[in-house]
Amino acid sequence: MESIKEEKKLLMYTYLLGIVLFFNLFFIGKDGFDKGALIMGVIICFIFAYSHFIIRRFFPDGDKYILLFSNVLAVIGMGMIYRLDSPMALKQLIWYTVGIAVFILVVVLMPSLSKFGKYKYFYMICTLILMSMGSIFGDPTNGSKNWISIAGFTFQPTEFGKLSLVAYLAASLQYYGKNLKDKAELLKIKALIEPGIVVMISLGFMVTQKDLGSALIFFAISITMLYIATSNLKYVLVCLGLFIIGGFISYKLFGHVRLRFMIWGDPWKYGNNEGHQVVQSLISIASGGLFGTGLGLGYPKMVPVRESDFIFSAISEEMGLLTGFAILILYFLMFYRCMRVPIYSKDNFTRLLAVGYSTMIAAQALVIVGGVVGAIPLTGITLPLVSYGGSSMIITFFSLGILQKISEDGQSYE
Amino acid sequence: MNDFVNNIKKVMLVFLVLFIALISYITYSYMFTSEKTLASTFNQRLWAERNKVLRGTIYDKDMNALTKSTKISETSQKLKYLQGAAFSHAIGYMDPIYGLAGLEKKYDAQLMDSGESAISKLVFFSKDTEEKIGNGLRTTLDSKLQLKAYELLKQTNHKGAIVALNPKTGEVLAMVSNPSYDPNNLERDMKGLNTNNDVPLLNRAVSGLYPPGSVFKTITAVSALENIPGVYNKGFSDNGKLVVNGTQLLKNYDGEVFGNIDFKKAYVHSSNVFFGSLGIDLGNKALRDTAEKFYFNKDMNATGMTIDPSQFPTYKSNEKGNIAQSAIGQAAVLATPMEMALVASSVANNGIMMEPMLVKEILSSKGKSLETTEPKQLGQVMTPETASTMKELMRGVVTDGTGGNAAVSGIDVSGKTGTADHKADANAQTAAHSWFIGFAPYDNPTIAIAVIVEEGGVGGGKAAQITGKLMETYLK
Amino acid sequence: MAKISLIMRYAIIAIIYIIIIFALKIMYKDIKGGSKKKPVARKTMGLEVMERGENFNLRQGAVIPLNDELTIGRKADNLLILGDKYVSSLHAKIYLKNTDYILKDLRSTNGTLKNNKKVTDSVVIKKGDEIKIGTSVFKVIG
Repeated sequence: MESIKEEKKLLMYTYLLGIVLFFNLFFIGKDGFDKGALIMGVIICFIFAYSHFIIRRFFPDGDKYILLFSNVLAVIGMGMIYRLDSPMALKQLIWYTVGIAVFILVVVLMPSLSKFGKYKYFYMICTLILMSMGSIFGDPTNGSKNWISIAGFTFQPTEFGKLSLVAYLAASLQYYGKNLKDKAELLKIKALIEPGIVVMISLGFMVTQKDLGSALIFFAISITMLYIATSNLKYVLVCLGLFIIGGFISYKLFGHVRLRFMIWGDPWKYGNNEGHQVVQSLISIASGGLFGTGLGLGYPKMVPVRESDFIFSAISEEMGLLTGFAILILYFLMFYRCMRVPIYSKDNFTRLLAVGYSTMIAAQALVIVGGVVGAIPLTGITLPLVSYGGSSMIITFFSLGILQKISEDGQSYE
Repeated sequence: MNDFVNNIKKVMLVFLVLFIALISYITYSYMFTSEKTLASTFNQRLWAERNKVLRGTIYDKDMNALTKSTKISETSQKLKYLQGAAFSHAIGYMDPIYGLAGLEKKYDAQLMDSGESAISKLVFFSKDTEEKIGNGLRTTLDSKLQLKAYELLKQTNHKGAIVALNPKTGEVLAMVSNPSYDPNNLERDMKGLNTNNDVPLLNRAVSGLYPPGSVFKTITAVSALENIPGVYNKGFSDNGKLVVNGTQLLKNYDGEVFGNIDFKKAYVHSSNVFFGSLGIDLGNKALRDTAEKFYFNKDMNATGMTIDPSQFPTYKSNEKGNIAQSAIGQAAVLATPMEMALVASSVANNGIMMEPMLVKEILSSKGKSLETTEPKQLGQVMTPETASTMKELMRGVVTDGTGGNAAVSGIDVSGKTGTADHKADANAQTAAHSWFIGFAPYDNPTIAIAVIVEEGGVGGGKAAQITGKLMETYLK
Repeated sequence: MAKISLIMRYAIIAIIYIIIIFALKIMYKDIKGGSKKKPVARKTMGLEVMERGENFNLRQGAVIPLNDELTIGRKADNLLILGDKYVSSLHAKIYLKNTDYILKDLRSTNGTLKNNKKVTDSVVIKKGDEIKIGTSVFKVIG
């Protein structure tokens, strides 16, 4: 009982955050008061409350914090996007609603997930198709060749490919080591060859499509799942080594890889052209200070691509570095809750699935924030839940839905 | 199973380390490099902040706009000078690359001040939808006069300057310097301007130091009238040369011999011999004291301008040649056109020299007067009686003397010519500077002018003509 | 009005951190409070022996408590051992799923009956249900 009261208190604070954010936006409207902001704030609180209500009422055993943290992140994102470009924020609201709907549907409609472990080859084919689509049909936008337009909607097939890759790896690694406990190492490695090839092909597609960020994330997901499945540090190190070699080769082969590293080394030198994005991002973050300039008082519009890839810079400038840190903390806490889920899970497939999706979200956050602050070379990916982006929102909520579902199921056995 | 849990824990630890590393990296770079980052030239934020206020307008004395600011982007404004080169030296310029000069520099803070009081900065509940516009400056300049002065000076094809003042208030009605420059095209022209030997950027009206020549006789006359009793009625014999102790110190222009003359005639016809001898009679100290009353050798306050001090030298009593020459505005005497305009205006104003002002008022963007410059007296530089005498003398110059070209039908113009010798270098034969100072009308003068046309020849020529035309423009 | 952001930025940051710290507090308490703690109040249910039939190790009226899992069958490693010949070695099991108990027939030869209906695979059992395995009849009590 006590925990429910505390949970309610936590929820109250989240509503408060939404209200305060949009109240602020209400006051800083361009021509006086911006009523649209208030309306949007109310709608978000409504959707948020509804989603919580459904999940808590009908599925009270699952993890309570995953939905909460994702909503906090989404609300911060929508607040900032509204400040930057209110029509876009409206679109983001729609994507958010769709995402929440996907989340709820996954939890409600999906049958027990362990059954899905049998469709290994289906996942493999999906992965290969999605990964290659970019290379075959894609047209270069913003320097990466992995966007496809169908019926007026543009999306990145590799984003969806991530989902099927995790499913595939979970399906093929779930039986690793079973019944082979004392058998020779070689036999065990044989089981790894097939997934290894699939991963390498996928990485290859992504590098040629110039989507280096996704490649990095894929790799992180793959070795994490590998380690969880095999408990063998040696394999991880071997893969790391292969990755470094692969990276080195692509550095030599591909100009665009070299370019990224060049800009990362000294962004100021290229401040006028290629390094412009990073330089403006660094300046933006520095101008905010710890507490930020206050919504509407900074100049986040000087940063390019500010509603998606660089949303973190815009947030740091106007809401402060402290908010930036809070976002990273939230991602880690969400990761922590997500990783707790597979502990209670019944079978290996769902375990690996959960690990894969958790790593996907956390790695994506690390890679884009790292690139935006200059810690690692910049890549063109979004900050999950915070950045503007329909496919990103849907995919993230889908993965979170799966995680929530697994945490639901997992409670039946201790 | 436990195996699995341990693996999960290890993975979580790895990610925890990664997150902490990222947060540390951000903290580190914020603490140690943010200053450098913010100072980078790619940081447009300071310009955007400054650009929030639309720069105020500079007006002439009748509230005609002389400048126009428009915002062209989030970080910059374009300032247009509506009347171009004629006003360059008076107003100055503001350029993103070359900085500020003149009134734009002196009043930069007011021009960019939109009147947000400290309290309103704290009040959150005000609508900030209005455009912030800086305060305006109302100068004392008369556009019609200024443009005419610039046109006349430019037509001479000589370097020079013109200053026109209101003798009662010290207001600067016109201030022109030639050569000038186009303030709307500094990017294009600046390099050339800086290397141009004629120094177009120099405001000759307040910074040009020239030997005043015979216009200085006005001060010598004042000094004599106030130091030598009865000098006005004393007779004098002018034989064309001044000789002391067997040395010829100076001679009249063209060697002219005036014969028996009195004070008035000597002034009206500009006798060097008479005034050179007066100089010796006065002695260097007395003349210098008078000159310093007129603010020679002294820093003069002026609203909106910096006036370089004019110079009157100190000579030992045995330097008779220099003393005589100094009395006729040569030797080491140097004066700015502004100084000589003030001399004329003091005569016109009953002997009271007014502090020159270029800015009459600072107005808020809505037109409310925030600050008004009140006319200030610099001092009674001569007695009203002396002033009255000088007025008469100066009227005579135009009606009977060397300043005939300054005459205007229907207006009583008074003044003094000056033909200042100067040598660009020891051997060159350079034409003299053409000077004229004057005021009008005779009763209740409203304008005092000083004109110098460098190497323009006799004062009664170009400078007098220009003065006449300007008097006509202003008073008709 | 834009200046109001100067104050509100502190409020926003404060609320975000309150959420984080509060969530951490609750999570910490959860962990400390025992990892075995079930997230939901557990109902205590049991099987009352209505008819022991030919299973002589059962006593009429006895109550067998239902915990996480109750395995029923002839083999000795079952929690509830029924010896009559209509009972298979691994006959059925009753396990806890979320808040409900599930009765699952383990492909027994003679089947399991709930309220006289044959149980195909799994079915939820509630208080008052009658379960028949072999010659014994049990009633679910809670």
